[in-house]
Amino acid sequence: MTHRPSDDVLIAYAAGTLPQGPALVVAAHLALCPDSAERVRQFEAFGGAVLEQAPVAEVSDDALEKTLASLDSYGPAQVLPRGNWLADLPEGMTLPAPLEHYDIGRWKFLSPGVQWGSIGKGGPARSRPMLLRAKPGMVLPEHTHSGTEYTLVLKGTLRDATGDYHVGDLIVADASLEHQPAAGRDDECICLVVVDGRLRMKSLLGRMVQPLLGF
Amino acid sequence: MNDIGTFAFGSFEAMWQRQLRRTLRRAEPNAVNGRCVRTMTEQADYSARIIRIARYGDKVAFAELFSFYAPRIKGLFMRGGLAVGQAEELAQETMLMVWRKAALFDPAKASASTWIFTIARNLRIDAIRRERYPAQYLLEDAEPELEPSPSDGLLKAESEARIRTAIRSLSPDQVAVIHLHYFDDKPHSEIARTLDLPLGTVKSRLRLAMLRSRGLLGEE
Repeated sequence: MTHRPSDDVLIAYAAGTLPQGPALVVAAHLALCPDSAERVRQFEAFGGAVLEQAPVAEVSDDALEKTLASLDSYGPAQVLPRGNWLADLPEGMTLPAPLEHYDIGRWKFLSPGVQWGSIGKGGPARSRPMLLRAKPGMVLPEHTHSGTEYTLVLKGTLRDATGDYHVGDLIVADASLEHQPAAGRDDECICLVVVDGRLRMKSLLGRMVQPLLGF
Repeated sequence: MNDIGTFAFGSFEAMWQRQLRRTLRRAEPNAVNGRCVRTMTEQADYSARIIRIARYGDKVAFAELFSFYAPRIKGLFMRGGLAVGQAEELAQETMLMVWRKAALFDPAKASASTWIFTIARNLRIDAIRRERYPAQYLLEDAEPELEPSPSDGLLKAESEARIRTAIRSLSPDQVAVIHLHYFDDKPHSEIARTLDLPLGTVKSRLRLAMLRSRGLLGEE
């Protein structure tokens, strides 16, 4: 069984109302899950239909003329540079294509057996996504969050009280869930995580590292 | 009070299901439905224009696309809360992008409207958040995929036509909520203020739209 986000999340992504961080995690999920990708295509088609029936707001008289005049003066499309990836990844592992243009920081200590790597720079810290890497069987710091938490499994398995999650699975947990996911016993686990809202570590250690994470 | 938000949930749900079934009957792909057929033809025409831009740099085709889409893009942006000036500017920018990216348009993947919608959506986010929206599927070079069968494109066109027909049958109220949902970062509470409606009503209307889209698109 694969764990896919609800239609609400996919509609918000297709409509462009999902915040940047969660949108990036959803985009990475789509690269790994054809079913969700197809669903998003349908919701984008919904957006196309909405556009066709949008209220008509007349553009100014010279709008077409001005646009036509600038057609030829436009330079070639800019190509986004590849991001700078400092975190070393296990042999043979690549990150989903949507992460290509983001900088990825070195692995840093989060808690025993668990490291984190920053993604991108700038923007509000509290909803910036990050990579988490846990050794086999290691438990991620217990935490709650004031907003929704998106976790995409990129390597290994992740398990919590609600079940086992495999590569490509996206777990969307709302604020009410107090959970303590752990890496599967046989393999290390790498996840892409973002919290849309404030994260609260429960342990003393967690509370100590929290300021370092910028949450 | 003629307000869907005030219906008890059960009867409201039943009422909605009835409405949805009627809509789906109307939107049956095989039904002889002039409106449905016409929309499909129109969309094919707009797709052909984008392809003419890509192949021949056809400015007449561009002008025709502009006259249909630019005022609608502007309308959608304004509905989403952008000021007139910015809405117009971004609508023009969207059309410029249509010109520049025309070679990436693949009619087997999306209709003209869907493709242009994704361009408009991304440009609007760029402008507001000053960050690139991570949703580029229709705007990138197609990765080599499995050979699509000719029926794939046909199915896509049919399913898009059904979505379009169903949206046409929504009430103006529902359309307004969907539009705000589809083109606005505002939380539901602000949508409620914009439309001058109670928050509960906005939420239930959004729920309606979701239900409808689920029924239409087939739940997994």
